[in-house]
Amino acid sequence: MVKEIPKKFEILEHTADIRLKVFGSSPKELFKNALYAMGYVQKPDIVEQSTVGRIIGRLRGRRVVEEVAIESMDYDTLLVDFLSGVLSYSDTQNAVFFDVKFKEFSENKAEGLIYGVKVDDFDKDIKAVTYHEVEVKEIEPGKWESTLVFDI
Amino acid sequence: MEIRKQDLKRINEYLWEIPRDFRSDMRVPARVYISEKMLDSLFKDRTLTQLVNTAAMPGVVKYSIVMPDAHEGYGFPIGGVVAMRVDSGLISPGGIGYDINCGVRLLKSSMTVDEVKDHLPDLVSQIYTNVPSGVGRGGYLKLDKSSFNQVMTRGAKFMVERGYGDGKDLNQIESEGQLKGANPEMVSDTARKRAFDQLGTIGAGNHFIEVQKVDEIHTEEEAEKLGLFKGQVCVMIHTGSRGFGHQVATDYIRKFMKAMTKYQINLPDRELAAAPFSSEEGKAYWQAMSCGANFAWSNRQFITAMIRKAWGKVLRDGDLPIVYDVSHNIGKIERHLDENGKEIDVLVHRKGATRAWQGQPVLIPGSMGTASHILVGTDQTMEETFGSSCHGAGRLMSRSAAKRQIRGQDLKKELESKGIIVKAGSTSGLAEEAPQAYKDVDDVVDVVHGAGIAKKVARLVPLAVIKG
Repeated sequence: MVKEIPKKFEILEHTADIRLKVFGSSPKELFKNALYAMGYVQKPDIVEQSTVGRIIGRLRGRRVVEEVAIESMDYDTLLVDFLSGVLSYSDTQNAVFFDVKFKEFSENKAEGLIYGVKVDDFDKDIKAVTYHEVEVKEIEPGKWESTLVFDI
Repeated sequence: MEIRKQDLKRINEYLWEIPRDFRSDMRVPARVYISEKMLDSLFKDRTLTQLVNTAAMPGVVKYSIVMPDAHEGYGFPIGGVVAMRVDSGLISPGGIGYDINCGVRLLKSSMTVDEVKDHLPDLVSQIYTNVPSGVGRGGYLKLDKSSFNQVMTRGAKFMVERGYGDGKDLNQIESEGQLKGANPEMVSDTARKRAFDQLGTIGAGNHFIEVQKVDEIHTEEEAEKLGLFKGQVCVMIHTGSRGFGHQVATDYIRKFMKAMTKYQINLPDRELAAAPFSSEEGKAYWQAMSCGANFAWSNRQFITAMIRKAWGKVLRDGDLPIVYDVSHNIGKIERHLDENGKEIDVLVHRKGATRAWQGQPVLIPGSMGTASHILVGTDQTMEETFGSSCHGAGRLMSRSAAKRQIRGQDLKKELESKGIIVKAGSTSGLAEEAPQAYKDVDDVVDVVHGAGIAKKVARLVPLAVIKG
């Protein structure tokens, strides 16, 4: 039997910006998937083929690892502040990030290493991660989700 | 609470109002400038709910407004004008937007389309080379710390002093290209880092440079004052403060989350994050936002210099005076009438709305491949809309819906079949900006003209489009 891979995120409609729903079995996994989703919006083909252990072909040697440590009020604001931190690195490093390994993770703090790849350009310029409609919640045991809106 | 058509009371042909008693937290009514024909478009997304939310903010004056190009944003609606009392009202970074001082500038040549036509492909290539577009392509101007501080505090003035323009340029820019309250100390290192190679770049999304021709003159007298004539070639620039402004906004919206608790401000949406204008946080954001605005004016000034250089190289004529430069994402302190007819200082948040003071040129870019309009502000804007008008066509269709319906390649071919040269970094990005994804800019402009909150002067159509 083929094991179904849980969906990381889906793209919803928004007139001008990008609205997503991100999923996870825990808040921690939701954060990880949200970071992946953001990278996917910026550069889908690169993010799809990247994993921490394996960066293939022409991407070899372009790996970027950065440290992030964000403190915030709750899961909702932490998610936005965490992604905003990643986005700033993305802009200054010209890189897309696709994974994170947390050293510390709680409702008020997310600290760890983010993994990315340098790119020549982005498919989409995310101006900002907004707090609009963000609500990290457990919809049933072991199933977490939140909406996210990126300003494009 | 869902807003239905019958909740809107019609005031005149182009103006509707959602009364204050529609929702218990509203402090003022909410007003909508739109035509009967376009009205339905506002019920397709959350524009009106977002408008009503802004009418619930402490310190809001008279009414909150959306223009006919309105659509759903995050927090504030796009196309919104919200004036706050300077003494007791709030300032909201979300009401100004992440792209601080995103705006439009129009340059006019003295040449006609017949004179330029044969050189157009070379001109476009040269502009494309001189002005990097798209994401991740850095600009050619790298400044040291002290020069960058001058960009933040003095905006276009500094660029002109550095030789990127002349003194006459400044008279043709809103606020002469400089917000005076800027304080670089209120700007984070991250924002500075993001700005490092972004001066002189247009970015992606709906930002562009277009070579246009004046297609129609509506008011000869006004057109003459602005130096516009039929068949004339112009260049339009649409861009803002790039990653620098985005970071300033991000930093302060984050800070304002905490300030909301401190000042016990409860608002219906977190993204409305606001603090009293007179508070420490409010003042700090104002000073940082002004740096963002000045960065954007420096950016458009440097881009202007690069376009003039390209023009000079290809057409042996580098004189492209500025018709005007307006911001459509900004906060300004201005004097306007309150609900009792008394003149007071207000902080006008314009998010996807343009200043349109009496006699001032108003630049309305269309969606890609469609017409753009030049209007002029009227005395009525001062009385009715805090001296403001619309800012563009306004989106109608989501990016993913546009991509499902339109292929970038097909669109490029379609534009080229109309004789429009298209130079774009990404063809899928092109599809998202297809004209079908936007309201008809001619309809939008007819509403503000009909409503009397800006008068049509001229219509321009594109000859070439340069995009990220």
